[in-house]
Amino acid sequence: MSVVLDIAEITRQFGGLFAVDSVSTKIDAGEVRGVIGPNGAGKTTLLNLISGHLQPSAGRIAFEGRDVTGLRADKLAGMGIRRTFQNIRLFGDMTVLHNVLVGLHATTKAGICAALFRTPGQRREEQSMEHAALDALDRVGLRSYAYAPAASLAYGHRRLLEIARAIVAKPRVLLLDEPAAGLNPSEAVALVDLIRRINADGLTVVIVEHHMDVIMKACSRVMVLNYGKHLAEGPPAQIQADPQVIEAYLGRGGIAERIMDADREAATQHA
Amino acid sequence: MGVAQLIELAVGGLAIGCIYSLIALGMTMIIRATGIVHFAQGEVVMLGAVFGIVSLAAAKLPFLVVLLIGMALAGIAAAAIELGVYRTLRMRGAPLANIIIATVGMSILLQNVVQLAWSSEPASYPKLFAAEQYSFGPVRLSPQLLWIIGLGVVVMLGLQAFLRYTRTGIAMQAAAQDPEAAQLMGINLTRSTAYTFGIGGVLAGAAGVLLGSLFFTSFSMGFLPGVKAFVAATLGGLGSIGGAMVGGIVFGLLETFAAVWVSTAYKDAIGMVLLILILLAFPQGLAGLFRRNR
Amino acid sequence: MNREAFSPRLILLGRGLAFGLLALVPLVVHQEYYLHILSLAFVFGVAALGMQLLLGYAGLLSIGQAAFLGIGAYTSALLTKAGWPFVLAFVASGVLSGILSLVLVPITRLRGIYLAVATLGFTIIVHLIFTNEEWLTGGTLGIMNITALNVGTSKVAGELTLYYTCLLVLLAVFLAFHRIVDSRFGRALQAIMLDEDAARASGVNVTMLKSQCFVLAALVTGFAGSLYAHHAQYLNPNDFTFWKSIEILIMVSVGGIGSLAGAIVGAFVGVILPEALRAIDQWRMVIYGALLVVFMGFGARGLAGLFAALVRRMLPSPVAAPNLERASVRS
Repeated sequence: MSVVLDIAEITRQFGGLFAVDSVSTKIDAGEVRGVIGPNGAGKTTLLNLISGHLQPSAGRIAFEGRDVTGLRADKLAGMGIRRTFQNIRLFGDMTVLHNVLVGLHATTKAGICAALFRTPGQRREEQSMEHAALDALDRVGLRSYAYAPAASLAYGHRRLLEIARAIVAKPRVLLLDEPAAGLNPSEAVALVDLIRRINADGLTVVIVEHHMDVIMKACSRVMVLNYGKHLAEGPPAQIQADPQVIEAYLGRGGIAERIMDADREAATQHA
Repeated sequence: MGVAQLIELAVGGLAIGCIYSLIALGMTMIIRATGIVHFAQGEVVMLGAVFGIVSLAAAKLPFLVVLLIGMALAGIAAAAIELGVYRTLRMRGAPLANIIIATVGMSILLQNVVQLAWSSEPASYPKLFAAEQYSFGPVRLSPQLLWIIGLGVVVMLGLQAFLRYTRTGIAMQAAAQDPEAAQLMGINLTRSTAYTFGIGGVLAGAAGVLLGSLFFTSFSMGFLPGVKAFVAATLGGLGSIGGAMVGGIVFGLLETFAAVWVSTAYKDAIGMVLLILILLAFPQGLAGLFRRNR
Repeated sequence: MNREAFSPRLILLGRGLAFGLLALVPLVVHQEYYLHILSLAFVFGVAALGMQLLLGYAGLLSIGQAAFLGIGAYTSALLTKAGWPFVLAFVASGVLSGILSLVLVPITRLRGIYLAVATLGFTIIVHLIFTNEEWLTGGTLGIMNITALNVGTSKVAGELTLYYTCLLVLLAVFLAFHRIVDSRFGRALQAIMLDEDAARASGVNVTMLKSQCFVLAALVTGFAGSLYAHHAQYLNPNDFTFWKSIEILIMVSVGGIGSLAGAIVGAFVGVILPEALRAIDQWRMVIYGALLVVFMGFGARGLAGLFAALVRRMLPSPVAAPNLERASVRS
């Protein structure tokens, strides 16, 4: 199996705090990778580093063999790394369809002049864009809402729309930041089903999630972060049984917590 | 250029900078508390100057009393504008952008009302200070400039003390930082916002009397200093009290030295070019410099 | 674009009718004064459209539009004086204004008030150049006797040429912006305005698009400047202080942020209202200021929003329900 994302000793500091501390992992093509860890473990920061919304303080990221460290988010999106946000970020005043069309921006090219003169090429491109967007809406089951304002959608539907916008350009990697947050149990089940279907089309998926049920059902491999450090990695069942992981989750506030705090202080002094 | 001349220039720049600081402080406090860029702040400055000159004409008062009258009346006027106009707009659900445009309307309104009600001709304060200059060795300084710096500093220190040590001041700070939490703690937002405009008005009134006595007083005197003070506040990184003070003084010095060293005709342009360059380096204003080094 | 909640065909009809009526005005109104005022409203309509693209579609608050208006105006005045035909001078005005706006491209990455202040600074700089570079601009005396647009020889013919030229340019810019706004480029701009990070995550090159939008607005404002020069036939640096930028901003806010047609209506109000208030002379600006304050209490969408609400009340729901029809997409 080929490696899609090769993350090598990636580090991000905020002041003296190491939000992500020398994390390395290889994500294979076709994998559904879960990223778990207690609050503040650096999961979202890691996602932001991969998507280019944050720049690493140290370390490298390679995407399909190319070094992409330090590239801007829009460049990476154009290359095929797409994401959703923890707190759902849609273009509320635009229609559902237009939200998805924006997702095609990097893979299309009609500019101001083409729009002005409505050239045949521009019209063809608009048509195929609309096709692709409606298809993506079909995938997530939102086609009947295509012409409604995005802000009018119910919460669960907004999550789906964000996914549709992220997958419309047929990316290679999809980064999902807590996609199940705020969903009811049946919506969460549908989400897992959607993630599996997307994955079946050859899309590599990385999921940051608190919802263990979703992680266990959707992921082929799970990595655990704790205080910014890579703690463990393996198939879901193995991770569930890992004593270190259990301690990280259950030992909080106890002795383990104090050890971790001491660790972090040592790390801070290092800086 | 000799050292003596340099010092004279610096004092001049400092004086005008103090005036900008006073105006910028008020604008910054208002931005922090409400998000409103108060384009009519320059007109509050003008009101202070006009109230001062009118009270001087009515009775031969000492300068300090005139200053206090200008400050008090400008403060009351500013608070009244907030309570009567901007609050009404907010209650109607007008978005921030609309309220900012409304402050432009307020600026037009105040200028023209004063022009009609008072005078369309500029007027000068009578000579308030000793005409001869103080000499410190080769350095000659006008007493007026020193007074302006002194009074400006006193007013700004007074503001710091007010914000730090009085209940009202602390409540205003809290309301500016987190309105919702402040409200939960029992702070009356309407009152605290009105106080913010009022205190900003008091500062602007002080700036008005000082500016009016330095140059002249007219219905349109406030607009340009208001805009420059806004630029100074931005330079200081909008939203920090210290930043507004430093921004005002830096801007005053810049302008003064640019006029002498580069050209009088382009003195305003120099300030603006520097402003743009500083913003490019520190998109959050000079305050970003300190934040970065923290 | 789903801003208006009624049928696109109706909107098209209304807009066609409005422009048609404007084209017919000179048949009914013969006083040159009125035509002259209307022409000026068209000129500022063009400038307001440029501002609307920045503010209403990309969320860029610029107080620098007066500078581009001035650059266009001086360019056109000087070139026609040097013997260029109007059409070439007109094109050159827009192009030069667009090129000079490239100087400001780095600052488009500033946000909100910081961008406003930086563009304000630019206006002040340009105004000082107009005032001080006498060899080029005539300094405070300005430029007099700028070539009039006239296909005939009579004064009336001149007024009509001006009127129709301005109307034509306004219509062209309006249609062009309509197409641009409803395209890949326009959607990306809106996305940037609504959520910059999400736009980046969707592959939109935010900096590039903001810059393009800025240059486009400057280009169009330069065109407006060219018309302004031949409308006034006299230029003075004080025509292009940052106050003019604020006037253009007022037009857009009054007309309704985010509506192209609203920008034009706002420009009409912004030009015609002060003229209409001339009758009450000294109270003119007092009333203008007061009206501005009061009007800002009427809601976010300005006149365009008020009009939409009114029409919606008069026409019982052609598409009152959330419309799921394809037709509404291409409005």
